[in-house]
Order: sequence, then structure tokens, then C-alpha cells
Amino acid sequence: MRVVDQQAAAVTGSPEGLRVPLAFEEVYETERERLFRALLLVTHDSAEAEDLMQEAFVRMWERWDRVGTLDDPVGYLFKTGLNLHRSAIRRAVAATKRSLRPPPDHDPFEKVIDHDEAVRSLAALTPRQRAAVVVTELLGYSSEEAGTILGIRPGTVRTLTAQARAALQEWKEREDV
Amino acid sequence: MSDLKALLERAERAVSAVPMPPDGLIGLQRRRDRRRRNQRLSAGVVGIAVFVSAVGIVTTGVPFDRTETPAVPGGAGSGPALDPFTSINAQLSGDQRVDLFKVQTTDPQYWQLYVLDQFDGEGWRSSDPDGTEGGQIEGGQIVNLSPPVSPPPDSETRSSYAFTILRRFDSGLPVPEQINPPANLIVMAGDLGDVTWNPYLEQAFVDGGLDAGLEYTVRSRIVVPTPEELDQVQNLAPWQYGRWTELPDDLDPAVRQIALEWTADAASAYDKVVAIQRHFHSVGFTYSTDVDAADDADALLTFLTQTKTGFCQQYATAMAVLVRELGIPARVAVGFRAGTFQDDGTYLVQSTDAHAWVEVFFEGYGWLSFEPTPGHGNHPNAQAGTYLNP
Repeated sequence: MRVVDQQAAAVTGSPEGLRVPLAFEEVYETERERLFRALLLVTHDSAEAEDLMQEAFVRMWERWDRVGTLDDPVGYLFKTGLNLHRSAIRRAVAATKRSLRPPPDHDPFEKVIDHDEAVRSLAALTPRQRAAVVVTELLGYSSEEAGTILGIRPGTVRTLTAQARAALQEWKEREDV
Repeated sequence: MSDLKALLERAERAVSAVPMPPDGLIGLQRRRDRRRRNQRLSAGVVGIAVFVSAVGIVTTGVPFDRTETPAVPGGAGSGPALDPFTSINAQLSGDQRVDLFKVQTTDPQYWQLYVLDQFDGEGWRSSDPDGTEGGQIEGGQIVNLSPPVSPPPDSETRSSYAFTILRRFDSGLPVPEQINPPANLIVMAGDLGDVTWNPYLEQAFVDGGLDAGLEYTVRSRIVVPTPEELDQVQNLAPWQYGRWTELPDDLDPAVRQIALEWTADAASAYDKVVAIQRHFHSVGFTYSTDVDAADDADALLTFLTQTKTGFCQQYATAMAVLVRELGIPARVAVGFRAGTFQDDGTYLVQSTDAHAWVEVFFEGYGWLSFEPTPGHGNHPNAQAGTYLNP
């Protein structure tokens, strides 16, 4: 992404616009938190968000010689993380995981959900709707770019976003907030 | 600014209160090394190099032992021999016995480490070789283990298995071959660390390997049906079992012919499975570890029709394929035989007990072990009158 590009350019003193191979570690440090938070909002599960984040980074790392020279390696990273989340098997495993793990004393994410209406309202959306709005509205990708990241058509991205708006409106009325 | 965007930004600010997972790059490195190791090990060409390295481990007398890998990105490091079959052969043909663990129980079983669920035409592979698919059990001391499909609770009593790890080795967690609920795992001494339990493959991966001195108890119900009971089982249509009956499209049709010939006189699914097992025990098949462990498309047919010589790798591979050819769900399990009974009432399991066998699924009973490998002692559940010894 642009932010990282400029950093890399600054480090090596290259003029902007010239592609500089990024260090994986650098992208990791810059994007780790953003990816984790985005996945938290999409998955509504801190353990799964952590797992997906790690797996997405590992897969990117393995292909770093190619991914590192892409125009938007961060897009690749989010795409991997969200695709992993999309697979049905993955979700089944996550469900199993929840049933296997002894309940934690307190999950900081649960606490956030309890206390924050904004996070709670996102639960009214389907996982696909959440993924679409997180990628477009929060990460700032266009419908076209979001379509590439999510592996769906741009039109579908717009449909999902519109559905999300409607669902949130309905949620607001129901909750009377 | 749209209200949706404002809402998401509020949500993002809210979740910024959630602490970041702690381990960072180190955990990532470990996860990547594990993936890389297994990808390398399951790649045919590099398999030869790995075989050599596994033998190298044996000559130092420490099969399965963890060799230190450099914890730097891109660091080479040979890594432990995790290709299940490669390390079995290395251990079986090694002349040094190494004590791995012991189990206190009155009801010995085979001890399972991994399950291989995919046949690619050359060999059996795991769909989850690095143990990343499954539930992470974080430092749990008492943990429920349950597969998604299992026999209904009945009068069968639960058996108890108290494992003691005797030397450090890096692999899955040894568990009894049957995990039927209510089953659980209790850590008695030492630290198990993080475990990933894959209920579909019934395998538990331990992050960082198993340490000497670790003690844990697994309780599970062991179900040993009679031939008559299994004769009554009505399995579903093959396609309903999905991957458990899948074989590659380009498998030589001669393999299917052999499966049909060997089971021509058998009526029930169980009869067919036993007919295949019996065939390996009788007609000209011999046991030897001195075979070429070739993984190529012809290896299976060559074994079935010409050489008829091998160790558990060849037998388990062939039987599981033949059973799937009949539309019956089958897989290969990798682990250890029961071990040697000791004066202190435990079963001592050594490197030379490494083994692979076949598991076949029967509705109402779950995955049941079968033993195609000839001339190497009986399965502990093979008393006369049981399904293993009709």
C-alpha cells in the first residue's frame, strides 16, 4: 500500500514511484495490527482473528519473492485472510475450536462487544456483509478493488454494502438506539 | 462521511482496546517452519533427501528426536523427520531401540499419532500435515476430545491410558486408536503447552513437541464389535462420505479389479474388508523392511501383483486403497503398536514399534482399526470372536 511504499522509499532513498522490494518484516509490523482489527470486526472472534492473521502472514511469507513485488502486497494479505475466513471448513473448525476450548476467564473482545454498541451492531450483519463493509468503508478500497480482494464481482460488493446499511438501520430501530 | 463509515470507525476504535496477540514474529516463524517442513517432506523429489536425513537421525540413535532448527527466516535446518512413512521405515530398520513413552492401562491399543486421509495415486497424505486445522487448546489441563462422528454411548466402559513421555520427540500427541466420547485428556505432570486437536482426523499436534517427563491421561471408550454386529451395519452411499471414499480419477482400473476379485465371495461391507485383510495375511505376501520405498504411480500395482513384499507402509497403503475402491470409507493411521508389557504394569513403546494400519468406518461404530501387515503379532483387540479375528 501507499503508506508502506513511501516508508520503503524513504528507507532506501529511492524516488517515489520506483518499485522497491519491501521487507516482509516491515509489512508485518505495519499491517499486523490493522489486519487483526479488521479480522476481529469480520469474524467477531478474537481467537479466530488471530489464527487467520497468522495464517495469512505465513502464506504471504512463503510467496514473498513474488508477493513482495506486487503493486499492493497488503491487498494480497487481506485477500488471503478474508479468503481463509470464507471457507466453510475454516468456519466449522472455528466452531469446533470454540467448543473445545475451556471458556477463558474473560475474553477482552467479549467485553468490547458488551460495552460498545458499534461493535454489537455489526453482529446484525452476515459475515459476507461485514467483510464487504470492512474492506470498502474502513480500509478504503473501491468496489472494484474490494471485489478483487474478496473474490466477488464489484456489483456484489455494492449489493452487500447496501444490504449492510439496511440491516444496520433495521437493527437501530429494533434496539431503539 | 457516511454513517456506515462512522460506525465502522467507532467499532474499530472500540476493538483497539483488545490487546494484540503476543507472540508476533516468533510464533509466525514457528508456524511457517512447520508448514515448510511438511510441504518439503511430502514433495516426492525432495523425499529422497529427507529419507537420508531420517536415516541420519537413526544412526545417532534418536529417531523422532527434534533436531534444532535455526529460528531465523529462511534458515535451512533439516528438521525432524515428520513424513510419517519415512520415519517409520527409518525406525523399523534402525538397529537401535529407543524408549519413547510408556502407557499404564489394562486395555492396550495401538497408539495413534496421525491420520492420512488422501491418496494421491502414489502415497497417502494428510490434508492437515502441519496440524493447523483444528481447535487450539491453549494450555488446557483438562480437555474434552470428541470426534464429530462416533458411536452412541452404551454400556461400554471407559478405558484409562496414563502416558509418560520418556524422551523428547517432536510429533503428534500419542492417543489411543479410538477416541469415542465421552473422551478427555488430563495433563497430570509437566506442561503440554498449546495443542491443536483436529476432531476429523483425531490427531493432536503439540506446539514445540513433547518433553520428557510429560504425563497425561486419556480416557476413552473402546468399542470392539463382533463380526455379527458389523455384518448388520448399513453404511451410506459412498459419495455421502465425501473425501473418505475418494480416489484419484486416473488410478489404474486394475486396482479396482483386484478389489473386486478378492471380495467376490463376500456379502456385507464388513465381509469385504475382512476378505482383503485375510488376503494380505495368506496368499504369498511377506513382511520385509528391506524394500524400496518408492512412491510412484506403479508402486501400488507392483506391490499387489509382483513383489508382494513390504512392511506396514505398503500393506496399509494398499488395503486402504482397495477398501475405498469398494466405496467403503477408509484411511491410514500412523503411530505405534501397543509396545512391550513391563513388570511395573505399563506398556513400553519404543522406536521399533512405529507402525501404520488401516481404519475403516462403520455406521454406529465409528473408525475401527484393521491390520493388513502380516506376520508381526496380533492387534491387541484381536481375540477370537472379535471383528478383527472372526
